Amino acid sequence: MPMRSKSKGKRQKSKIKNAGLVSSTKRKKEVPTFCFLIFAFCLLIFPAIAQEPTPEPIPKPSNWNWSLTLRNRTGFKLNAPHQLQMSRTQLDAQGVYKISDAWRLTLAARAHYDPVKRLGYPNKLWLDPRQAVIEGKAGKVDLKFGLQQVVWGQADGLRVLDVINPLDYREFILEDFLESRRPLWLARADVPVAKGSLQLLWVPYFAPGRLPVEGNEFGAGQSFGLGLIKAALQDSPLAQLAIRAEKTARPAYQLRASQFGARFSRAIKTWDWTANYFYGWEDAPTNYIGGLEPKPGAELPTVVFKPRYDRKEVFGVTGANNFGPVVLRLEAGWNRQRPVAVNEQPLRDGFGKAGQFSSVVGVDYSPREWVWLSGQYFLSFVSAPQQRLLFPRYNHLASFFVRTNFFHEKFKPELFVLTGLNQRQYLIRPRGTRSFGDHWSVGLGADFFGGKRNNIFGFFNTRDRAVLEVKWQK
Amino acid sequence: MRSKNQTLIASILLLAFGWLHLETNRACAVAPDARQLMDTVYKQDNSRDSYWRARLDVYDKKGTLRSKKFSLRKLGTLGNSKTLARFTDPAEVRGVGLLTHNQTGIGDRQWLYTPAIQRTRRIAPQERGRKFLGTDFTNEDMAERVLDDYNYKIIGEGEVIEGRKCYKIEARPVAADRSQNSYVYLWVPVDVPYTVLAEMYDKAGQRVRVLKASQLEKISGIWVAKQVEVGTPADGTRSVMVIEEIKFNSGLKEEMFTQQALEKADVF
Repeated sequence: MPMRSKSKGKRQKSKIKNAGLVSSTKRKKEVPTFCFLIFAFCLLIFPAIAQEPTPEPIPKPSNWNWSLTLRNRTGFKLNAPHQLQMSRTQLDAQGVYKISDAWRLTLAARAHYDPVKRLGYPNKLWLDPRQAVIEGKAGKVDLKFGLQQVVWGQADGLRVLDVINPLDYREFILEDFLESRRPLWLARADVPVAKGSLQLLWVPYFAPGRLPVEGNEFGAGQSFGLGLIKAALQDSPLAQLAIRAEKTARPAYQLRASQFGARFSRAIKTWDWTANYFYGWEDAPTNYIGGLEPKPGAELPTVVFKPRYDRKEVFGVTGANNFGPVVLRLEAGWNRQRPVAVNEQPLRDGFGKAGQFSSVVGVDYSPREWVWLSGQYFLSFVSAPQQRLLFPRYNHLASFFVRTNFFHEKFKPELFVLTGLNQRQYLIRPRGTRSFGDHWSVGLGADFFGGKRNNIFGFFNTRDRAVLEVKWQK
Repeated sequence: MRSKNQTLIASILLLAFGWLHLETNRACAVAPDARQLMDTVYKQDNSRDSYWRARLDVYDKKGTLRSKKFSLRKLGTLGNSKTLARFTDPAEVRGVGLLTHNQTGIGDRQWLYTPAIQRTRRIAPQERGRKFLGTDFTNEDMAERVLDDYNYKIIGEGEVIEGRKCYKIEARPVAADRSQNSYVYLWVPVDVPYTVLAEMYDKAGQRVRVLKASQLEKISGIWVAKQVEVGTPADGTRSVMVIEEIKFNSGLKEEMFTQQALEKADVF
């Protein structure tokens, strides 16, 4: 049928054309005929148009893509004193600009305010740049320059090879790592090499983790970590000594303070493997003992600590594969010269260098479309005999994570449990999130700590809390 | 006069014979081999690569609508391909990417990139019957079709769907593990190698899902349905995929299907 209409239409068109060629006298006579032809043509054409409506022109997409997230996380302490622990309001804005098909510019910044002021964040509105990255391709090499995060490793909730960006510890490790990683100005290149890819990183400066101070909710002593050492020495006469921490010494802004990393990735059959190397700085300072000073009016002297940042050199390997519906994740790292607290007499600077091995074996499985399960075994040990060490040489941990979703992914309850296997300590984190439409969500969760006070989770066992999160994003 | 009549008779006979011959051929064309027909359907997209930009409208039981937008790049041929799907909307899933390598002899390998944690995870290819991202589509609907998974039989002809006369084909899986369905009825137009309607049935003979493809267009010589709707009658839910843009053979490269490419800020 459309063919017939078309041919008729053509005939009408040719008649109309011919009509245009006739003389003016004839034209007058042919006006009604001409109008009829136009009318007939319209009759033929309009139904066709009605059948196949002209598609609306697709608007050309903008070169900018913006995302906005406004959220408030309010924490209430479940241990005495029952009080607000935080009410962190964050506005995150991110813009991605398409420079060309191969190049992008990403800018992201956060405005942060917490009127409760117990975690150690700035007392006023704090503007924190999160990303300023230009990325693209030069030949076959992927390049990424600017303020960014680089995530290595396969572990969830624990860091073995995720060592590039230092963390913000002011909310301990209770914030998502993406939120708590401190972005770094760095250059990154991903170079295709034989059957794999080589990633090269260069951070031209030193940047420490952001640490809480004494008196903050998740502070751990006068200098971060001293509180744990004090707790480990509680049965020792040294615990009676007063302590004083001097200002932390940090590396100067010099080229020799820069950091370097390399990762080679390749697939072997169905396995994904990476080999990693990073030469950087520890997130937190080591609290070296600087000496003893007499305390006026007291019998015992004061121990003076001189915290300073140490270099770290980490070698590692990761692997991942799936066996049917089960995913296996492996990660292992060797920190070559880790400062470890020692328990030696005579007391020198309190620390010695030893190798530290850390590893994770994880298994993920999703038996139903609404549930996802993940279990991990974490092992770390240091290459020094136990009698030299202040803390246990071996640390075995296990984690269990269950994530579910109901009502077309509108309600998402989840539970994360991290527990010590050779030392009594745990962190339990239940949480439920309900989304309302595409933009709003409300989450309610809790964090429970437990264990001995000289373990990291036990140290915070009076900081159990409930957290309410309200989020809007567009 | 006589010779004129003879010529006329001969012409009529020739015409009649010709008509008969044509009709016989047409009669043969009416009943093509069902498997061959489905082979044509699956192989009509012979593109080297393709790019799709689409919207998924998901309606729940109450008719509440939630939309997700995504782009999909595909490189390679049936059984040996690479795809990269990227979500661009809503904000909750913006930037989430799914990379799939489907290699003969190795099977599917999948990686999921989540911008919220800036990490790429290896994931297990999901079971075929599982719903795709909370929609009425299943992984089997989204996956590449494998002709050998089913036996086919033409069981009807002439029913008009989407304004086109169709063959009705019954497809039964060759083994239970090859499909989530017990059997499927497919409607394929006589003149277009495309499945415009599919009804999926479970073991109890219940119609569990209905797939409708509409707005058929031939783009770069390949038939495409610009709208595909899947309904789950028992749940009262339905999902509509609307293709907003589609390109074939635009010269996509292998390097666009790597984990590095997956981690790019590609939200356009």
